[in-house]
Amino acid sequence: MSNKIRKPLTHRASFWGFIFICPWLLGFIIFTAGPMLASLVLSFCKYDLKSVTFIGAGNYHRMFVGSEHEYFYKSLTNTALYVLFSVPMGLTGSLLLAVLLNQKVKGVAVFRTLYYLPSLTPAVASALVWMWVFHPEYGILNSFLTINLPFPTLGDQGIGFAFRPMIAHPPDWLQSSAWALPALILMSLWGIGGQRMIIFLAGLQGISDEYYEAARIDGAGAWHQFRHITIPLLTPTIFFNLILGIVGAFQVFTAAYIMTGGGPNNATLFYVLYIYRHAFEQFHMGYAAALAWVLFILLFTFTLIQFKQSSRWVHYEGETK
Amino acid sequence: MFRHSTILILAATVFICLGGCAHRDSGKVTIRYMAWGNADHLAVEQAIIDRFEKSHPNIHVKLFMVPDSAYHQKLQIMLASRSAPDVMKVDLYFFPALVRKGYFRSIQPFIDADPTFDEADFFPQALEECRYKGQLYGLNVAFGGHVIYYNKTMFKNEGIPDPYELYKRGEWTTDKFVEVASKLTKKDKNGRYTQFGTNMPHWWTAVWLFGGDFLSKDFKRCTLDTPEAIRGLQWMKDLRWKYHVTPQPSESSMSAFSFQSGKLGMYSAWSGMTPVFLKQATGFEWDIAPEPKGPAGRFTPMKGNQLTVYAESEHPREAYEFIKFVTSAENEMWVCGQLRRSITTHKSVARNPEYLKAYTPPYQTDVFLHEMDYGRQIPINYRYQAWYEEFISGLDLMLTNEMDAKEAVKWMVPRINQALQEEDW
Repeated sequence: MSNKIRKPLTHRASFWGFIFICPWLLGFIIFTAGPMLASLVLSFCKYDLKSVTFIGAGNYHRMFVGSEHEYFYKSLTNTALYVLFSVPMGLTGSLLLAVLLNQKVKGVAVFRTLYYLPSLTPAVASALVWMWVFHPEYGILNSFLTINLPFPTLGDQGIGFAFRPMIAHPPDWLQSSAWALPALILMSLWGIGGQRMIIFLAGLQGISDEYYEAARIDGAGAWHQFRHITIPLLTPTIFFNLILGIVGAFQVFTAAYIMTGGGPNNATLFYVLYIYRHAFEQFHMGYAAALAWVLFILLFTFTLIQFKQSSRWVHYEGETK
Repeated sequence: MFRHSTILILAATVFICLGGCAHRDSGKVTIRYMAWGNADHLAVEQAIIDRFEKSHPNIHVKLFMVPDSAYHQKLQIMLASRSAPDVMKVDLYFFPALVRKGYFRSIQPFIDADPTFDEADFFPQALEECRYKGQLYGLNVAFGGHVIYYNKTMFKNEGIPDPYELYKRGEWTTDKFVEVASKLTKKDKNGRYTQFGTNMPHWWTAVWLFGGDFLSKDFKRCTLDTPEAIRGLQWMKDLRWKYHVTPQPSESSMSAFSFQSGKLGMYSAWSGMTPVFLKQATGFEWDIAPEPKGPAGRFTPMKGNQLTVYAESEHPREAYEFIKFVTSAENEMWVCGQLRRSITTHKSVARNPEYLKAYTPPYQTDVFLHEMDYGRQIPINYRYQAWYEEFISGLDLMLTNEMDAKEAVKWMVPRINQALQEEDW
């Protein structure tokens, strides 16, 4: 027998809590959870914006073994390769940049601003600029790669020098199906000075000087301080950036959409671009919904695994093990 | 006090809103019209509307323009969400798929009841593409085929015979085309191209010139694996990789070798480019010539855009009046005869000597007229979007020099066939 007295609804803390988060909650249900649920249903249907027909697992069959499996796996492979290279390279780059910009040197604020600037450029504008950078004949990148350098030669008069281009036949970058994906990965490094770097910088500044002082007294050099103080204390930040980085990289879209349109020969057909093609170019909404759900499940699993793994390498301050 | 004034303000706001929604002059019908294009196109559309409103004082046309890159996506979403405008322009590439879904209203009843509509005055091919199940579901605007815009000054400076003259003498062939283009292509001392002979001709043209075709008559099978079609595709590839007379697709799209910049001798494009070049290609003399003649004859893809009425429009009669006006001989005399935005769909306009008179380039306007003779209807049906993707991927493989035409065809034909056979999804 319970002797609790039921409080009136309005006297409960949770009631007021819900009232206060109501604007967000309604927004979430109407604009996020609702459409998500609808798209799950649609993924089992044929839906061309005109009529909905239930087709069971037809879309998934088409994706995994049916007529679209070639494109599905191609886009998945492209995206996986992109994630595999751009995330670790980008994270390392951002971290190193953050360490540099955390040094106590004169004018560091100016440098911080300068390195942050590229991320303020609209994605479309920077994509257009990069198209020129990668231009096979007139791009600055290939102009640089074909600079004439003195190479030692052995002739009749002994050792001499001959001027030859650094690389005689530089890649065609975006026009070549072998180099288009590496080009986009390279371009993604343009963003290392952005938000990720700022988060690293904040993490670095949160590390107390006392640790470094103690280490220096014990005779630790710069590398040892970095390896045994900075990195472990930064692991929560690294973990955060890693999760966001992977999720973000899986959703890469803009660069390929503007610069290559997924080509040449689908070499830069990323997963989200593939969804976009079916949803908004061919209006295969049901199939696109199925694709989106597969991506969601993939990302969810990935993130879950990372969280499980994280207890092994992520250290939180004040945590006891 | 405070409460009272709040109520007053709220009430006043409601009344103002209601007032704004009410129809001010109930005698006038407003129809909405959607088209794509840039600021120049917008000005032309608005000018057409102004003329229309002058002769139809009780119809008001509200125009809204959408940039072409997003147009057909927006259109399809508006159609699906039942918020489409009364009149909309649809590219032929999308028309067969959309008309099939019942999005457009047949204008045949209006035409049948309209004694002033003279169907016999239209070129049959211009009406053909607007027909679905025997009825007209729209009328044709921006009709025309590809012509070759060429830099007359460049030809003169190089001492190369003029393509239009060659055409008149019957010597304008694909071989001559390659020869001329090679002479116009220039490199600097580092071996970098500074000038190209031509852009890439349209694939429709290339395949037809050599006697090939894309699909079987029933649209069920891809016929690109014939020796003729392969020759046509290989010719495209050779223009880039063997004769080196055309820039890579990216080069031209990034305007490094645009016609306007004077670094491209010939530019094969829809006749709709005329107003653009009139404004931008000002540093040199230019004119137009037909496509060259191939082993199988002279061809150019002919198509237009459909001006359609939304199936759920509340003012279909007024919408029809507007479409009829835009596609009328009188309006085409102006849009096609003076602005040269497209070629006329009316026989009476084509016969009118005023139509060919030119006061600005292009002066060789009989080229537009001759198009009607060798122009060919493009083979598309509602499955076009599906097989086009496969075709473009195969074309990519070939134009990036990874495959020759034969291999690319072997790659694309089974894929196109599968796309054609698959039911609509």
